[in-house]
Amino acid sequence: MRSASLFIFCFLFSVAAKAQSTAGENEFHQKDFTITYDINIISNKKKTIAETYNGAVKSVYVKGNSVKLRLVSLMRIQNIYYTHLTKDTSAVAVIVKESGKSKYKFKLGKSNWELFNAKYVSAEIKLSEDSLLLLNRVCKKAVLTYPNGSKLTAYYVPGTKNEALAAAEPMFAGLPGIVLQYEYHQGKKGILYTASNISFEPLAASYFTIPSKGYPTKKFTPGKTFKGNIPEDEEEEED
Amino acid sequence: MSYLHTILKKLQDHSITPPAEVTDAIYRNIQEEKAEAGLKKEFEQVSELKNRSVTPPAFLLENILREAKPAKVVSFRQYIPRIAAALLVIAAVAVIIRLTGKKDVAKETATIPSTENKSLATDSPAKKDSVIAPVVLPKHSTYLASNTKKKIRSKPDSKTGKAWIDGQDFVVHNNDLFFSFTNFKYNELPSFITSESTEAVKVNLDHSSSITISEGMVGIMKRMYQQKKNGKPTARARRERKKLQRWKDSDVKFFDKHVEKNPMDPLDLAEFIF
Repeated sequence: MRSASLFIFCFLFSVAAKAQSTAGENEFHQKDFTITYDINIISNKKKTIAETYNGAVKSVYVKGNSVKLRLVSLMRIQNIYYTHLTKDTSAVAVIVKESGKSKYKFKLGKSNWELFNAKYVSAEIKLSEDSLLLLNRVCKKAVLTYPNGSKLTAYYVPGTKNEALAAAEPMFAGLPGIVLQYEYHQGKKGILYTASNISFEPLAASYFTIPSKGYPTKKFTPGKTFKGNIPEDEEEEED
Repeated sequence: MSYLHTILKKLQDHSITPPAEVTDAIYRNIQEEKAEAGLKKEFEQVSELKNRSVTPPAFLLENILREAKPAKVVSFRQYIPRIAAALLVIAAVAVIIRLTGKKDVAKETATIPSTENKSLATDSPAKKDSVIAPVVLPKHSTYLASNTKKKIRSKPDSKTGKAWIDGQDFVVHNNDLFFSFTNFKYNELPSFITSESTEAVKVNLDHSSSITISEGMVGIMKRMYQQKKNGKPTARARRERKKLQRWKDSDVKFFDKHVEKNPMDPLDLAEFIF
C-alpha cells in the first residue's frame, strides 16, 4: 500500500514537472515575450566610470522573428533591432544609438552581423547540473570560456530556446534555453545581469519600428577608429 | 285611595336637581349652538359680500387708459448679427493665439536643431554631449530657463522627454540622462541630490522603463553640485564635473568611434569600465 502511494506520488510529481517544463517551453515559443535584466557592477571601488552603467537595464523584446535588444543606462540608450530569417540580408540587424545629440544608426548585413559577433563563435560551452531558481524557474548553469581566457557564467531555463533570440544574441546561441542570469568577471570585478521580470503580454509592432528621422545612417567599418566625427556614408554595404 | 292621591300629589311637586355635570354640558351645547349659529350668520353675511361688486367710477378708467403706454416688443432676431459678430471675433482671437503659440514653439525648437547641425560640422568631439557648468548658463540651460517661463500650448518638443524620481519629474534632453542629470540648475536640484541620503535612486522613464542610479553615482552627483556660500561651485565640485566630462568623452570614444564595440556585450562593457 505504502509503495503504491509512493509510486502514485512520484508519477504525479513527474507529470507536474513535465507539464511545467512544457508550459515554459510553449510560452517562449508561442507568445511574444519581454525579459528585463538589471545590470549590477561588482566592484569595491564606487567612484569609477563603472558607476555610470551600474543600475542600467537591458530589455529583450521578442515577437515572432523580430527581436529588439535595448540598453537604458545613465550614459546612453542604445537598441539593436534584429530580424530573423529575413529575405533582406542587407540589413539583418540595425544598431541605433538613441541618446545624446549625436544619434545614429548602423545597418548590418548578414556578414557584418557575423563579424560583429565573431568573438562568440569560438567560445567553449560547458553545461553543468548546478541550478538556480530565478523568477520561479529552475535554471541550469553553463560556463562559457572565450579564447582570451575570460569566462562568462550563465543560468538558462532548459528547453526554452527561442531561435530568433538565439540569432539576435549569438553569445547564448549554443545554450539550450533562454538565459535569465549571466555574469562576467575580470578578476575581482564583474558585471551581473539578472532577469527581474518576464512578461508574455503581446507586443505592439511599433516596438520594432526602426527610427528614421533624426538618425543618420553611418557606415559600419569594424576595426577602424574614427578620429573626430564619425563620417556619414549613405552607401550601404552589399553582402 | 286618598293616600294614593296624596302621594301622587306630593310626587307631582317633587323635583330632583340634576347633577352639575349635566347642566354644564347642556349649557355648553347651547352656547356652541349659539356660536355656530352666530358664525353661520356671519359666514352668510360674508358670502353675500363676496358676490357683491362695485362698479368703479368712469374717470378712473379714463386716467388709467391715458397713463398706460404700449409695451416694448423685443425681437431676438435683431441680436443675431451682433451675436454672430461676437463669435467671429472670439474665434479669430483663438486662432491668432493658437498660431502665435505654434510660431513661438517653432522659434524655440529651431534653435536646438540649428545648434546641433553646427556642432556636428565644426565642434570637436569634446564639446559634444558636454557636461556644462551650470553657473555659466550655456545655450541648453538658457533654453531651459527661458522655456520654464513660457507656456507651450502646442505638442511637446520631441527632443525632450521626462523622467521621474519619487514623483518628482525632470526634463530629459535628447534622451541623454547623463547630460540632463549633470546640468540641473542650482535652484532646481532634485531632492535626491539635496538630501542627506546617499541611497541608490530609481529613475522612471516611462510606464515600463526605469533604471537605478547607484549609491556611488548619487555620491558623485552630490559632490558635483556642492556650492560655496557665495553660490559658486566648490573646487571639489569643479573637479567632479571635469571628471564626468572625461567619462562622457571616453564613452563616446569607445562605443561611438569603434563601431564594433557593443555596450550590451558584457565583454566590451567590461573592457570599457574596468
